[in-house]
Amino acid sequence: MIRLINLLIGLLVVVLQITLVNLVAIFNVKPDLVIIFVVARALLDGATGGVLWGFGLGLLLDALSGGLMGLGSLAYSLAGFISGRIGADKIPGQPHFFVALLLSSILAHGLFLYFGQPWKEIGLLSPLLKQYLPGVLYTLILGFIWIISPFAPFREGKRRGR
Amino acid sequence: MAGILDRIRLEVLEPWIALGLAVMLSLLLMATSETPTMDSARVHLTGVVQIFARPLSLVPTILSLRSESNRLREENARLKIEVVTAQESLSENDRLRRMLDFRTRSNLSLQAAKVIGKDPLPGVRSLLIGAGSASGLRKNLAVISDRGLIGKVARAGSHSAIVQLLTDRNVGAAVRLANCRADGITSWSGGSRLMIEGVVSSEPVKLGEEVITSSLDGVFPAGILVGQVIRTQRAEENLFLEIEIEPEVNFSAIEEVFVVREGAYPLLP
Repeated sequence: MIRLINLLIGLLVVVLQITLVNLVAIFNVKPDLVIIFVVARALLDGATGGVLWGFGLGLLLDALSGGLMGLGSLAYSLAGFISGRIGADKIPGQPHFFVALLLSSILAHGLFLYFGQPWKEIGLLSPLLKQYLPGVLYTLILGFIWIISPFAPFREGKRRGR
Repeated sequence: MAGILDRIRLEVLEPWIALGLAVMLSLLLMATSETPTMDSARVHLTGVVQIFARPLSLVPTILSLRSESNRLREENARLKIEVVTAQESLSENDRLRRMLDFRTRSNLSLQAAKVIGKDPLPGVRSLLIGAGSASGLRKNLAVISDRGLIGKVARAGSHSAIVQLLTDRNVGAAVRLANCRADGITSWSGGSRLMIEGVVSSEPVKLGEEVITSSLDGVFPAGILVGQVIRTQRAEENLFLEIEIEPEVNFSAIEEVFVVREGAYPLLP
């Protein structure tokens, strides 16, 4: 039952990402709710769970995009794996979440930058400054707000919502 | 003892095996991204998600109702004035057309659709719209707004479709500069601007010149406004001009689109 609820939450996050998140976009830069969800699930479920969540939700986003199939699943699988390894053998807390989110965002958004932007023609600096760094920063800020909120699953070294 | 060691080994290896499989499957998907089977799978997944996304897509509409109402009132007042001018021009146009025996341009057959989702992945510019093959949509049909060209249909499900924007690195439109009549192809230059490639440096391109579709690509009908030239650069060692254009459409604020259905392409002017 809990797995089904988590699955529905995952689907809701994807739907929110393509609909309402556009309302909070600043200069076309928006936070990545999906990576926040994948990182949180990976810390709670471990690296294998993180890879599965990342692959599944990434695949769904790939299907919804007109771009290269497999790019989202690759990026979010890696994010889930890294986050799961950071949380391995310890009870994950807020610092683990933040570090995992930072590293995962840098890696996943880096892949999107590499495959999605015409950087070979225009150079790396412009997409890096206009899309990549603001996107990572916006995601970190939203992740930070969520992690200090009462809805976050990590509290003083205790696991919740497994 | 051996059993415990095996279990520990499996626990250590399990995430790596999962990652390896995920990476391999992703790479396989990348390699087979454009096959008909994959297209069909994507269409079905899109159909499922659009059921959930459709109600949420109403939220931005509700939030923007007040400003939209004010904007429409202003536009209404402006249009009333323009209608009078247009009627005069129309009668003059009809008269001249008869005189010159011009062939009438066929009207575009349009299907309106609401945007129900945007940009699923960072850096991949696309829209999810609420009309599909049931409304006559299919792959590669042109998508426009009341201001100009937006992109093309990448995939069409029964009640939804994915639209690739001009600001996607994989989309290019055959265009013509309205004054000097030079042909080129658009490409995304990052951000909200587009470049035009393939215009030879001897062409007298001017700043502010309008750019329209030429229909030479067989995808986009002729005469749709794409944008205006905002920068040109001639390099001595380069045969071609570097032309940057500002698109007429604000790609980050699209709420409704029109899909140009098959068999309605106008003749080239």
